[in-house]
Amino acid sequence: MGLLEAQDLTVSFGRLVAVNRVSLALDQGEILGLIGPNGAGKTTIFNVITGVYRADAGAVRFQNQEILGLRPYQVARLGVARTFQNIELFGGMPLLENVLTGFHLQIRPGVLGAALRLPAPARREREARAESLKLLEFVGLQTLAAQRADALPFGQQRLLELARALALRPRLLLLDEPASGLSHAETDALAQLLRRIRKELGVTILLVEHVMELVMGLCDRIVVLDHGEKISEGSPAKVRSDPRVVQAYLGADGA
Amino acid sequence: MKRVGLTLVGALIFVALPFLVNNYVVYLSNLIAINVILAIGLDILTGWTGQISLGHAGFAAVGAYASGLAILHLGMPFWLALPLAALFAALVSLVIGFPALRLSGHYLALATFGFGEVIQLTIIHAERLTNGPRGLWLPAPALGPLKLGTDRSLYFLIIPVTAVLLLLAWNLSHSGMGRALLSIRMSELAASSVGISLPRYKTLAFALSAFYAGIAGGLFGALVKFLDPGAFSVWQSILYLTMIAVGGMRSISGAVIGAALLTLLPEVLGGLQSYMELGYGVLLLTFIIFIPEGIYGRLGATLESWRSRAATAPSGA
Repeated sequence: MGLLEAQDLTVSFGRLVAVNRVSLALDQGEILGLIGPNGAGKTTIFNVITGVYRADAGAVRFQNQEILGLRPYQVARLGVARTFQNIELFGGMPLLENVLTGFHLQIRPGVLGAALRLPAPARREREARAESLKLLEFVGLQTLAAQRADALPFGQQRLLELARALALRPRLLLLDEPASGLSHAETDALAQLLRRIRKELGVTILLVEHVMELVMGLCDRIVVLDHGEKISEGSPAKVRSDPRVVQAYLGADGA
Repeated sequence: MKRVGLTLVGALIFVALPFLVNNYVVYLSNLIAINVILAIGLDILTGWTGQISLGHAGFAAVGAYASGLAILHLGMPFWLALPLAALFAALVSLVIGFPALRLSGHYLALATFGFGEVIQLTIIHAERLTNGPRGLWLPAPALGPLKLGTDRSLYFLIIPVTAVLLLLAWNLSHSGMGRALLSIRMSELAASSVGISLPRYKTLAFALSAFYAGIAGGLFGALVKFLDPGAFSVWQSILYLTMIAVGGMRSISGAVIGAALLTLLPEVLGGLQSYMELGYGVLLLTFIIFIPEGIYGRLGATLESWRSRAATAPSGA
């Protein structure tokens, strides 16, 4: 049973067709890699699934519900969390507060409850605080909980974004180049963490990534895009030996 | 215990102050408190949520005229007219906010500027209701049999109302609600990715800040007992923005400092009043460019560095 099914997605910006009739599906518990040279349309697909961009044609079903046309916060409510290629943290907030924003739907703050400090929202806030600390611990940032997010080094900012996304208790996690800018050791640690996220939290993962070592080692299946079109799909071994994939990457590198 | 002591001292000062100073100072205290309410409300929208309004004098006008007219023509008691007028201002903000908040940045500022002008023009032209540019005289407000005719008696209404509104705003900002608003200012993309509805919270911040402006307007009418459309011009809206920029955004103390300074400034400058608007503009730009954290923020940072220097000095010497 597919958790997410995208069918014949087409997205264009003016006359540029960024994504052309691309279909992909994720099964529950799977880690699917989405790769391709720069400009292949990977991030565009993320932004369409999460409601940031509109698609011109196609359909995206999440748990058999059509989600194309929903706004980003509505997609998040259904249990789809994401991180961003160019890290989007709340820089001036402490780490703990950043993760707490991920519990927004659970805290459900209301004007009266907040202004009058009613007990029920205050209790939900306390619970979320405890869970946020646990999530910071899960990604290894618990000792920095009170620090400002923009004071963190790059690699830890990526981990913080991950913790915030996990606070939504997502069914599906979309990661946009989580290893970009990370050291070798940090990339290894990230791979371990992503495996734990799947195994211990039961989260399905769609991974856009340029770091091939991570993609090949982690993903169950891989979808390859080039110039907005799907050129290959299958196991890491199969994709790696696909001449069209080799051609796309060599062509891009040779340019 | 220390807290109880401080509260007692504060309460004592509050009760004694109006009898220790002359009437003019009491009047100024009232005016400062009214501007504090407005500044705090604007801070919810601009400081916390990052949406700039150039139309808050319009919401103050709605609160002032709605409560004044309800008292004059409907015979509504003041205690009821004031919150209802503020709710009305919030309602008006929803009507204009719904389309306007889809705009962002400068476009929202422009839309709110237009709104302020529309309100002012409406007041000028709805002469049969508002008496137009000639202005509207209001009776002294009364709470039941208690007539609040003097600035001293109004002081005991305005200051507690201000204190309560400050407390509510403080609670609000230190809750998941405040966090949601702040997250929108910092990154709309990230905020919506965790399920925070931008339209909902922007509209809410707009309505809350219009409510505060409405209360301020209603109290202003009670204080000066004369409303004219000139008192609610765009300059006034810019003055409110200057208050929170100068005092320091996202802090109650900052709003209080800013409101106090900019209420007192024209009183001190006296003869230079014709240059006031220029002065506000220069102040606003200076603070936004050179001291974006405002007086309170700068003060806090300075104190912090002194403290850490004092802490490290002995070991360093």
